[in-house]
Amino acid sequence: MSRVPQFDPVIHAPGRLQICAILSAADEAEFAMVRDAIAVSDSVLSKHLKQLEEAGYVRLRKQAHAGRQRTWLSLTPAGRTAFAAHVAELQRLAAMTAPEPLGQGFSG
Amino acid sequence: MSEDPTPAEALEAIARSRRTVHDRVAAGGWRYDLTYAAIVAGMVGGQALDIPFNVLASTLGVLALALIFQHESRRTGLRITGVSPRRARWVAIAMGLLFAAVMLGVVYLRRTASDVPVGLVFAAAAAVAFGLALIGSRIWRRVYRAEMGTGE
Repeated sequence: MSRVPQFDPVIHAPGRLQICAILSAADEAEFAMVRDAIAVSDSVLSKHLKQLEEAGYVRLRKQAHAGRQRTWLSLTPAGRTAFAAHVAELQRLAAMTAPEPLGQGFSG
Repeated sequence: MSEDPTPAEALEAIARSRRTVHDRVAAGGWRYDLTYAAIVAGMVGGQALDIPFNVLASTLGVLALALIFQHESRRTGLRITGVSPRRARWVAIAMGLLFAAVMLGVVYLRRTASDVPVGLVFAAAAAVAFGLALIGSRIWRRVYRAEMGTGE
């Protein structure tokens, strides 16, 4: 997995960032689980997923169980790479903007 | 979180989302781990039995593992195989190697020491496998939790 820091505007939007974070922690996550975890409506989640799918970052898989259709979401290899690169860039930026630690012994 | 989060806010949102995943996986974890350990104990201990019962123990064990995985996926809304997380996978691989070693040990013992009662070999192998599976599962969860906390 690439660790070269690279900002990704598709991933950075708050909803999509949370979706990618959840999917990066599992092989697959169910649509309803992700919706509840990020507290959005079905339509908002679908909109985010469409954008991630168009970018080639997310894959959707439908599965019927007990007469009910479930949708499972997963990050594609390209999505995992892009998310890892985005997190690396966030960490790099956060380290740059973090306040200087106070000196030890002379602050009082 | 704002529409254009700062790097720190974005990293915090990622950590929060991953905690949500971890909390879902952790809830009911002991029940899953005990069931898993019992199935593995049956599979490993079953190698002490004669054909076709040893094959039956392996086959039923694999089916049972697939069933609890399916059940857990439906319960949590998440599918996580033991070998998917980058660091925790090494715990799963080590467990697999240990189970294989115990199985081979059982087969070797049955061939070289035929005077040892089958029941004793079965019970000893199953007890060892149960302990290894339970400890391994708990270690896997700890490593997975640490992995989730790193934001990687």
